[in-house]
Amino acid sequence: MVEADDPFPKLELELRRGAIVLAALSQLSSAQYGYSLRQALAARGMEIEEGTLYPLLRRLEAQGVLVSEWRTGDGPPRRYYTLSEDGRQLYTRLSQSWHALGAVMDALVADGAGR
Amino acid sequence: MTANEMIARYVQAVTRRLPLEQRADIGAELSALLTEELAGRAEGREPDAALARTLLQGFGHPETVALSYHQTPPVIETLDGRLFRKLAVIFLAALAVLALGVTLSDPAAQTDASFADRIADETLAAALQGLGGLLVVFWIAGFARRRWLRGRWSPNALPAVQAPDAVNRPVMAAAIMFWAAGLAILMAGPATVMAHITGGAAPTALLDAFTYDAAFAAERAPVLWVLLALSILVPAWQAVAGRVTRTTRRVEAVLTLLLAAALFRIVLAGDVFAAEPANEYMKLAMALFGGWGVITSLTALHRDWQTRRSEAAASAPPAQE
Repeated sequence: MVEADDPFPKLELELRRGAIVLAALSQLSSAQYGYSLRQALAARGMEIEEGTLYPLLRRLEAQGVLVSEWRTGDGPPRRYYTLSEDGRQLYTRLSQSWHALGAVMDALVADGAGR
Repeated sequence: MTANEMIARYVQAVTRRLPLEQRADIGAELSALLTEELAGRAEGREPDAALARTLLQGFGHPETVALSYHQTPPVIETLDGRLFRKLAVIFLAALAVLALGVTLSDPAAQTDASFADRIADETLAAALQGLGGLLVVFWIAGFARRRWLRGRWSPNALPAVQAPDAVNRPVMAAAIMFWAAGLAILMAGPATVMAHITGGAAPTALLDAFTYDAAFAAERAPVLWVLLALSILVPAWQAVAGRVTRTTRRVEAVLTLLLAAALFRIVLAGDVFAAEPANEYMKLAMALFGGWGVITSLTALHRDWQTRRSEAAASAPPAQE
């Protein structure tokens, strides 16, 4: 198969795309700014492009999932995001869905591999 | 170009595609994040333009990034919004003038009771069709532009950061001269100017058509000339200073409101020209200009209020780490 025609990168990207929101929410029980959140996710093996993550934080804030504030400390002013009360509840529900989906997918993939 | 300048250009290119009330806040955050990303990639070295270019190229085209800040992608992108509004207003104004012109000039309007209703229905249908068509054209243009731009851009080619209050002096000077010439013609009287230019050879009917009504010339015109002159003085002051300040912008908006009020008063108070139909058309034009003035001045004042609110949100980081 010619590398350019390999559908794997595109399909893997779609697979990961569905998990980005949950991944971001998982790290926001404590306040993070965009860059620190990206680093925290990357350190755990979840690389998310800057151009995807930063606007996503704004959109989640607009939906009431996150709250944010500007903070100044030793460094430059940074906008810190954290889960809102609604966001915490949403995160719990999404986590449960993720675990249920994971169990189903594990069974399906194991079933597929066994054939 | 330095790395910082490239980031500043990129942030400007993104934020000018965002709604006004979000620009300052998102711009400040994006600038801080990109600077930090760049410093992280430089690993202690001084970030150079090549590193910044790679970062921004990976971040995405400003138009794509700006769209990703929206909850739902707008049908008409913010950058195109101003042109769309202008074209829509011009189209609606032209349609209204056309409809009124037909209603006033067609003899059938005097005899057929349903004539005006028919014209109103047809005008409404034409307005909706025209606006719908304009919407589709703008959506297709935006979609085509995004497809075309994909992979065909370079952070090096982004426009330089412009001071938001900078004034293009030559253009402003030309505009002021044009407005001043127009005001001089109005003050002297169109009939007088025509007679002067033609050396007295202009047809009497034409001169009569553009002769001011005596009451207008004596009572209402002086107020209008003063307001028009003041409206020209504000941009003249901006051209001399080389920048538009918030104060001059507010003064301009308030003057435009006053001018609109004066135009409405003139339209309602009596005639402008002594003869018809020039008088009728002039009053129609004054009413349209007055309406346009109200829209633009209120829009400017609302934008000023939004900018102040956005700046207050961006410049007052409340908590300390």
